[in-house]
Amino acid sequence: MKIDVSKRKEGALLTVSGRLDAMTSMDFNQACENLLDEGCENIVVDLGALDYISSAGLRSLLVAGKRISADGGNLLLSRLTGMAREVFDISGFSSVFSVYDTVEAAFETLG
Amino acid sequence: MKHLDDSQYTWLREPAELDAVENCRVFVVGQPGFEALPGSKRFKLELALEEVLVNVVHYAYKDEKGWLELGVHTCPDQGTVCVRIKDGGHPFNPLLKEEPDLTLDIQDRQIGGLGIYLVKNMVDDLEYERRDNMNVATFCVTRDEQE
Repeated sequence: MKIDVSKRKEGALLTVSGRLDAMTSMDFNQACENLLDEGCENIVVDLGALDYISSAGLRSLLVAGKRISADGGNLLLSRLTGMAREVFDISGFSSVFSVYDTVEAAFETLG
Repeated sequence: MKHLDDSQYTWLREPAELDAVENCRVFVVGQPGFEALPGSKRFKLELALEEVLVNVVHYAYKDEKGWLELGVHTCPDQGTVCVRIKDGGHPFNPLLKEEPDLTLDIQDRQIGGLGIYLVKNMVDDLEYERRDNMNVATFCVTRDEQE
C-alpha cells in the first residue's frame, strides 16, 4: 500500500493505492492520526487506485471515521470502484460513509 | 469439498502469526489453476483466505504460540480452487458466528465481526469440521459458466 498526503484549506487528501489489508491497515490509521494531531479536521480519502480491501481495511476506515466525527470533523471517501465497491456494498459500509464519485465532489461538500 | 481427502491438497505449514498471512497468499496465488480464475473470483478467494487466516492468528490460540496449515486444491478444467485451513486452537465454527448488524451508523457500528460475514458472502462453498482436535475450514470458488 502507498499513501500520498496533500493538504488543502478544506482538509487533507489521502490517496491510497494498492492493498488495504491486515498487514497495511495500521499504516493507514497512523496516517490519519498524524493528520488529526496536526490539527486537520476533515479528511478526504481517494480510493480510486485501491486494488484490494479486507475487513481489516474496513476496520481501519471505521476507526478513523469514529475518531474524526467525535472531533467534529468529516471523513469522506471518493472514487470507490471494482472490488472495493463490492466489499463496501456487502458489508453495508456504503451507507456508513459518505462516498463521492470524485475527489472534487467530496471537497465541495466541505467548502 | 469434504469428499476431498487432505492428500488431494498441496500443503504449507506456518506459525500462527501475522506474517503467515502474506506467505499463504503468495503460496495460493502461485498455484497452477489460480490464474485460470477470473479476476473477480481471484479477489474473492484472496479475501476469504485473509479473513480466515487472520481469525486463526488472532483468536485460535489466545496468548499461546500455535500453528496453521494451508492446503490448496485446484481443478483448472472446472475452474475451481479450494482452500483448506487447519489449526490446533480452541474450537471455532465460523458458520455459527453471529452476523453483524449492517444497519448501524458510524458511531454504533462495531469494530470487527465483519471478516467471517464477508467470507460467507464471497465464496461458493464454506464448510467447517472439528476433527482430531483441529478446526478445519474449507472453502471453494468456481468460475461462473459465462466467465
